[in-house]
Amino acid sequence: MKYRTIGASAILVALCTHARAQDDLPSPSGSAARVDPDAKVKANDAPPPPSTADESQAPQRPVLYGKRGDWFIQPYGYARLDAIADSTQSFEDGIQPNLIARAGTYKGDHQRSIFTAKDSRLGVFVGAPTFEGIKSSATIEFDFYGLVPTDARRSDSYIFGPVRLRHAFLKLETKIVDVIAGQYHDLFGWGSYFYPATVAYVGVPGQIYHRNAQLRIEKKIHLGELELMAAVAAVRSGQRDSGVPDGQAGLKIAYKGWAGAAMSGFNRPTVAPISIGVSGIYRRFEVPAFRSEPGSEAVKTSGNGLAVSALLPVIPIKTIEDRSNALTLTAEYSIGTGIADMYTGMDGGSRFPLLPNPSLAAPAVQYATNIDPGLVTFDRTFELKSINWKAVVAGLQYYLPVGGGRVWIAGIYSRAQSDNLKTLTPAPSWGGIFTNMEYIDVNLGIDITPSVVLGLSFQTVKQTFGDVSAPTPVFGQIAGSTLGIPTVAGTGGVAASARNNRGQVSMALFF
Amino acid sequence: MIRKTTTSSPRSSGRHGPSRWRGGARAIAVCGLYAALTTGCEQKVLCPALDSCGGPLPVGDWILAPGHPSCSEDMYVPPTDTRLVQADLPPGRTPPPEPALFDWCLLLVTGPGANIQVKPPRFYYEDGPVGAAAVQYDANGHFSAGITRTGTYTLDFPAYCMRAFGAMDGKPADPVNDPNGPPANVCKQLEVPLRASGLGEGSYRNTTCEPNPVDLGGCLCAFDVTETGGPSGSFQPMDGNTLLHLPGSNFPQKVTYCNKGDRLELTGANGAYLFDVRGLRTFDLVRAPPPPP
Repeated sequence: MKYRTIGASAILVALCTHARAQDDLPSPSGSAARVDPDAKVKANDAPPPPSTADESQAPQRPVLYGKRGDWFIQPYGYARLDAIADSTQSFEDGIQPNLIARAGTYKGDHQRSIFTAKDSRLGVFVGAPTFEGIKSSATIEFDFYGLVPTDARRSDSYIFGPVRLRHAFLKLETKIVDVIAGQYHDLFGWGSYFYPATVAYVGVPGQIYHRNAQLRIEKKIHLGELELMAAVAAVRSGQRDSGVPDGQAGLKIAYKGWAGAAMSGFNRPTVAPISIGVSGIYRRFEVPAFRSEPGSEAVKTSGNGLAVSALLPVIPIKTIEDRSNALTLTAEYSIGTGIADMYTGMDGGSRFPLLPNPSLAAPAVQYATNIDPGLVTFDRTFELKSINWKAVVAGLQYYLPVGGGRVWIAGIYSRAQSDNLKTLTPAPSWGGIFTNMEYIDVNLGIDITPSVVLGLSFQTVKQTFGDVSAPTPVFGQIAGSTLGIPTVAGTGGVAASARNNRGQVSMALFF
Repeated sequence: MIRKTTTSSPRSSGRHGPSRWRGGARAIAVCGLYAALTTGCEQKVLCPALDSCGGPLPVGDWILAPGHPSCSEDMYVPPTDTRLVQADLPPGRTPPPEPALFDWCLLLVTGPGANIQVKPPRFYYEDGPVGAAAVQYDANGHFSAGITRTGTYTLDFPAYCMRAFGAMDGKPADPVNDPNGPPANVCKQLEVPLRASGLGEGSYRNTTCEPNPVDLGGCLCAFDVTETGGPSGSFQPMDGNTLLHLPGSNFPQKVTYCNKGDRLELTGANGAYLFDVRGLRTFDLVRAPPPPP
């Protein structure tokens, strides 16, 4: 152990020395340009230089290396309005997999109307000058779905729109491999390559849609118009206290000779090649033993998942400017256990059970969790089990021959199911979980200008809960050994369910 | 580099300018479509309102008879979280407990003593159907409703709950009345105190416990529910087809009715639950037979 520590220290020292040496690399202009971390502060704090020839020149921040003109900086994003009407009062803005209010309840019987601009986005792309063959760039992107204080008024939560970090990553492109470091789409599901087109908020139910801090290494191989891409990533763990990052890996094949129009969510279409991607995830969970005072005893299990994604240009196109009649199919199938967080906001209603209270303590003893809900729970034998999910998402997008494809229609069918969530839930809580969620949408988009788009959408989503409705009663009879109605929990009736229908009109200007 | 872009003013949209009416038509079409998409899409109600024809005041005794149903919505009311006793908020400076599923043991606590049941379980059942009801309106403006939920339900106790805290097979099933009785398994040991607990709560009868064939060491305990309750108070007609119930100890309740002489249809007015019973929407009643002489 001691030798290992000494060895690790030696490696660290060597790395630091190497880093210092890299800092001392000559600048492109030839002079030594050792980076002083305080230099920027000094430059900013220093009084403005005396005016020279051009009095109107704005103060500038010194570039880190290269010439100012070699740096590429471009803001991007969109301003968007969403007008939404829901048939129930179940959802905030997006159709998240939280429980739909049932018919017969106040929220299940009344509508909700939402107007919001919070899905507007602002991003900045920065391309640094190529340095010794290494291309480097950074992207930082925000929207306005930051966490709202729980005591905020509804009005304030919409109008203030706290900023939320969506992406913040750097990318290095070398001749050998590419590296992505920062917060970006998860490799599991292959991110935005295979997203379906829709006016609705993505991810739609059952769609793998998740961003995470990660260190990813990608390798591309080009064989003519065929592109093979393999990637591995160490990703922020689904449970911080597992102590181990998630591992993700994927393989993607694309053929650029056959390309179609593809749009990720409500966005601008691009030319995308026929592609298929396979990706996987492995993660570890470690939680305290299921008791009021676990000491240092931990219980462990693991999670894993597999996703197969495809993009098929049924009617291909040559250029995005003329996408008339383009027809593209996207599909994704995913299966796994302990991966609910990969589907946006998904937990199915699962939680840890209450602890038994053998000491009759009042208030009752509590179990201290250290993991987000929906990934694992304790079963009836009090063993830690991960929760299974499988899902399919299929999307179709068609660009009408109007103005080169300026009018498009799209539709999605998706379904997410769990085959063990109910068996991992005590019967009295069955009404608080859903084991099946089915989603359908149809969309119409019109490009008013090349950057301004109007979208109309109808979305319907149904959840099937863990409980069942009571069987048809025998009216006018009192229960008893002969007259009783056999109503064993979970049998006899039909599965309880609820549905929300949504109409949405959205408008955005993309830049 | 920031690309220089131009923005269009309303005047510059000359392409669409000449056909301003077309833009207006589009806007109307969009609004119309939006309205079409968002109306008429509510969830289908399980209990549609019954007839509200009104008629004479429904004075007399009424009951649910076979073939004359009540209708309750498919509700789910989660059991109460036991971690916060008689309070909605935790003590100061401690965060509220995270939401949790219910206890696998249904709050049952077993132990090694002579009485296996240290703490009785929650007799939980969901959506007990209304199997019997009697409603009475008298000529003095008083009403009463007796509503009985019925059914046979099962409590599922996992093996862990039955045995982890010291309970064992081989003790007499009824140590109080038959201390020298034959040895019984933990399920039969639980049956006696559980039956007493159910009777003590007044609504849960005929409790029997058997080993769970799919969970070795666990027990399934069946019980019958006969849970009766309902409001009483005064009532007054509001208009030709609506009654206002004034229970006194609860908020006023409006009910639409249709008195067909030998049949009475009641519906909670404007979406309210009938008699303020959660989920209950309608009663289809018939005249109660006269009491035997």
